[in-house]
Amino acid sequence: MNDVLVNVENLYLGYAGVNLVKDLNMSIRAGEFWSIIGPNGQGKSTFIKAFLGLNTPIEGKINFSGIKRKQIAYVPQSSAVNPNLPITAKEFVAIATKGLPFSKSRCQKIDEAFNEVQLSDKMNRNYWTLSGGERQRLHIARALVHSPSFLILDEPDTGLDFVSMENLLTLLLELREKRQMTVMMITHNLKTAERVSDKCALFSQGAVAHGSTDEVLTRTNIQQAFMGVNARTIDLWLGEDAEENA
Amino acid sequence: MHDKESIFNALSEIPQIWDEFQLSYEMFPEIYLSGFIIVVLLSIAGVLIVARNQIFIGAAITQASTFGISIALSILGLEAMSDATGQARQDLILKYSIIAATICTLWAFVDKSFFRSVLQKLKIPTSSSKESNAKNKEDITGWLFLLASAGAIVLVSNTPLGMEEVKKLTFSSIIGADNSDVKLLKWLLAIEIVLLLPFLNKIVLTFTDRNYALSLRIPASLIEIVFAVLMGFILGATLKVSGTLYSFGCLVLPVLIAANLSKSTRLLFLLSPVIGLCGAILGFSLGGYYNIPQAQLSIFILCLMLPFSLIYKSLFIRN
Repeated sequence: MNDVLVNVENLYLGYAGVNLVKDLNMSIRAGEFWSIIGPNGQGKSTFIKAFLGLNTPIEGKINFSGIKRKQIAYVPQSSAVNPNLPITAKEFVAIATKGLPFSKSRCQKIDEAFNEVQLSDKMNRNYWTLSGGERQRLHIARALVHSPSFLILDEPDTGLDFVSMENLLTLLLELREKRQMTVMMITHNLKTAERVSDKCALFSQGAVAHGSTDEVLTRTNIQQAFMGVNARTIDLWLGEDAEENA
Repeated sequence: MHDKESIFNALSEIPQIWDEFQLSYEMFPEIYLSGFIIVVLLSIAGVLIVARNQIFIGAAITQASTFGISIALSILGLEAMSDATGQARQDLILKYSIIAATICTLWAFVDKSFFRSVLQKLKIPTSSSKESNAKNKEDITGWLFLLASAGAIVLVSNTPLGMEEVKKLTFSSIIGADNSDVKLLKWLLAIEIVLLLPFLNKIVLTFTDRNYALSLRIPASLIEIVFAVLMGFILGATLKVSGTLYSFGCLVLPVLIAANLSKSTRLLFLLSPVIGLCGAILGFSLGGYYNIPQAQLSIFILCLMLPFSLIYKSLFIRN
């Protein structure tokens, strides 16, 4: 069994009197691929922000026993870069890189990251002229220059067409294999979660069902989480294997 | 034929314009130096304001700083101002200008989540971040701009001394800049460069993608506070020397022009002051020769350069 990297103990998350997550206990082990799913406003992003130290839990703690925080890298859903600002793909990655501006090792890391996400030919393109899929891969490249052992992605598949999404998922699986990374990804696409992840956490009404993807993505759990959704929609979400899971 | 002649006549005047500029520079070096240092100081700081898409906030801050000076003059300083003469009076104006500008820049540039966390640590109840974000920031900025524009005049309208100072700030004139102004501006430029150069990437990342900077454990709030205080000092000092129009123009125009000519954000820190200096040298030399207010002419020239830079971008900058 792989080493435990992160232990979440009695975690309560929320803001201004609203508890989004109540009494969450879970462990994340090295090499696992986690999908975080659930309806909007149920605390998925808040949970990830707590992981990154961007917000403070109301109660409980996240113990980084098997990993240093600097080994965790983050891929946001979108970038806040001003569209009127001239910024090349390479500069977008370079400004987030630590170390001397023109040091050999730094340039090498940037080149390697661009190679891995297959964007080497687009290094000098303006950030805003890249397609949605290319931009998402660029965000991953920006995370990779920090040589992370834990990658957190916030809805990387949002707004992508089928081909771009497939490319992105293949890339994530390849990176996980090659770099021996642990991956945690928020997604609204249950098929995506089912395809790539071996662990799942379903956020709903303050409770979090978590475990292996097969255990969590059952018809009952989904119906409870997404209240009011009918059986046919769940079939569409999960595909043909849904009935086997139920 | 007539057009060719007039162009030739205008070109033939260039050596005379340059000679007069040099002569004038030798007579009033403080005025020219302060004008040039201001444009360099502000066009560097302006990169971060444009990076965060806060151009209109920049206008509101310069106006609100003038309002701050009015408040200070009407509440605190009239007695002291009447007593003070010469340098002492100028020092008082500078002090009020810096205080007012710093309050405004702290409000504008430091993320509200920092103030919220401070209040929470002091156990003072705050609204949720979602509620606060829902409010339209442009509404507040527009309101601040109008309040400051009107209030700056209203507050000092019955005090000739205060009115004189506020009019000077509003209509922008660098006539009157002295050696102590140049010294202060030189110091501020040195501090700005020393603070920016070693931390350029971290600062640019904080101002372009704050959440990502935080995820890398970059102290974004600290960077914002340091920048806001520095901006407060810079805007306070430049407002006192050159007024709102020249200060705001130098803050945003060179950066907007440079952004159309460059493919890189970091290059803007170099290109923007060079463009600003070109505009200022042209404005000061032509203004001196044709007897046109130099600060206004410099900004007018920079405004004219902006559409040309857009044409250049559409023709020559390939993505």
